[in-house]
Amino acid sequence: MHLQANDVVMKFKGVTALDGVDMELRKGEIVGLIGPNGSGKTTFLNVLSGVFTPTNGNFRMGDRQWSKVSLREAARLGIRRTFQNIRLFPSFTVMETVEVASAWLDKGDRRENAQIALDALNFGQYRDRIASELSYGMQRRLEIARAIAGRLEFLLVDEPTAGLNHGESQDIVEVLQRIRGQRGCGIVLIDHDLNVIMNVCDRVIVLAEGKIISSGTPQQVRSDPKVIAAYLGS
Amino acid sequence: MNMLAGKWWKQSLVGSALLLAIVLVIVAIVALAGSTTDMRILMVFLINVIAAISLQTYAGNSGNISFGHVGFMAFGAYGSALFTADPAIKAIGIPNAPAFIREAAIGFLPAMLIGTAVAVVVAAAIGRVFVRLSGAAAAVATLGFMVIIYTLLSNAEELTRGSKAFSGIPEYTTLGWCVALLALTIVVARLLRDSNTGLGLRACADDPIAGQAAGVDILNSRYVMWVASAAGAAIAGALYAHYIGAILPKAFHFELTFVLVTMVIVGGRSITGAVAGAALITILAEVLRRLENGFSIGSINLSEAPGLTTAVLALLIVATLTIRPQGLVSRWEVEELLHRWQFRQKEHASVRAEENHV
Repeated sequence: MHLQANDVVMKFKGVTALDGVDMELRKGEIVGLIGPNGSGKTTFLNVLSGVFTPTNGNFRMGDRQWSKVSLREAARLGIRRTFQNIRLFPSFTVMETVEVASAWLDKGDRRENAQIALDALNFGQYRDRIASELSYGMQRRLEIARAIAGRLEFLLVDEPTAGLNHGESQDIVEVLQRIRGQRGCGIVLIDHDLNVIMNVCDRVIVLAEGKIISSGTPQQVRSDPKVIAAYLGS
Repeated sequence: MNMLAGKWWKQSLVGSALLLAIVLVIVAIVALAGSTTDMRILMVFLINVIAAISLQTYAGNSGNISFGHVGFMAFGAYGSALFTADPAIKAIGIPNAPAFIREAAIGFLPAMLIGTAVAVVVAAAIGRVFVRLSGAAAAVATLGFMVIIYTLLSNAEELTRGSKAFSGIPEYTTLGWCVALLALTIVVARLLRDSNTGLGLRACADDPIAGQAAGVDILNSRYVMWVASAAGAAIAGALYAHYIGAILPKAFHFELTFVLVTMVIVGGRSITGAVAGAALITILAEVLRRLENGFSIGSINLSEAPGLTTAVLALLIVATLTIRPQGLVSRWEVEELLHRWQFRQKEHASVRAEENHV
């Protein structure tokens, strides 16, 4: 199944954050979304996941097409996400955090389903901890655990390695690869660490000033003069 | 055994039973060893607990405080009172009321159900507007609702005798009724809190964006809790009316709102918190009320201290919000508190064992 974005435009009070973005995402594929600061990466994820309603454009997944979708509806379609600034439920335990998604986006016993998602991220012994008391790296992982509980077609991951050390970043990369392997979902990954992007992604899309300026395999994108110019400003 | 593993509803029932057992111990002690005055305080406490749990069902789950729930209590109180009071008394007190009310003299339970149904219908009708609001806007809107209900009751002389007391209400409220309805309230409130709806709504109270990204339908969840909490408040109102025997609109105004909100804020965000808050505030209010008639500390003699209760409760709210904003028991239920205590003990034991090993 493909998730297609057609001519997506997003304007904020005259500022064009996305300017006619066309993108096709495939299940089973990890796509890296990169670009300089302010290029529209997070805005695209916010539009795709229903945080923002695009000024123009539409999306298609399977036989469903929409131009406007709420966060909840996007989640019900299996478009799940994490956030650039971690958004957990501070008073919830680890188990409860994931249970919310299991309860609302899955059938069957919500605790059993949440446990499966937690086990996938090796959270077993932490289930009774308060989410806000976890280490930063664990909080990032918990966001991912919540995002994979219940229906999952596409996982949008915004800066999952930000603020993490090399070991923790590597751990996140392995987790994403494992989720793709086990669940067969498509993953869209935004990350400033280009090593992470180049190592883990099947395809890389480069945004600059709200437009796609390049896309292809990591090797193709790495050597694209437009990408080099966008990053180096020359 | 991990109390928090297994089906969520089993945990809700275990938690409800534990909380009810604690309340029953208090009831038994007062019933066996207490004076008539103590029994009166106990009855007020039990009615307060039902009202506080009902308010908590909305406020604790949604994160939006409500100043309007005394309005629903008033519907329960007047609804039940109007259909149970002696027709002869009503012929004198409210001679212009519709005949089906004036001549009605039905039992406690059906009358209470009528009062509750009225509250539920009103809550359902206005709820769609209220659930769209959050934070200060939601609080102020519910304050407006409380004032509207007070004004309506004060002016509906044909039905309520206006601002005058509506008396002659049969005193049906017994300890048995209070305990039975409290048990029902605790179980229903716990099941609602722990249901998918309650869990999702509490998540959204922490972070609405993250909650909705996890699939939670925030508006419908708030709506369910709003209507359910109105029903509980109406039951408390009916019990109150049939305990006191006379009601007037002023009884469902700022003072009661203030007391209920204090219970919920001081107690914490859980059902257990509502019970703890109600217990603390009921006892404190009773002690302070006695002191209002005059007291002496050492050489200082105070003949009267009017407003002492309200002043101290206000200070308590300020102190709670400053020192412990999450309330006495925070977000935890009684069985969760026990589980967390065990969890901490185990952690400390393993840390000690590691230190000894080193």
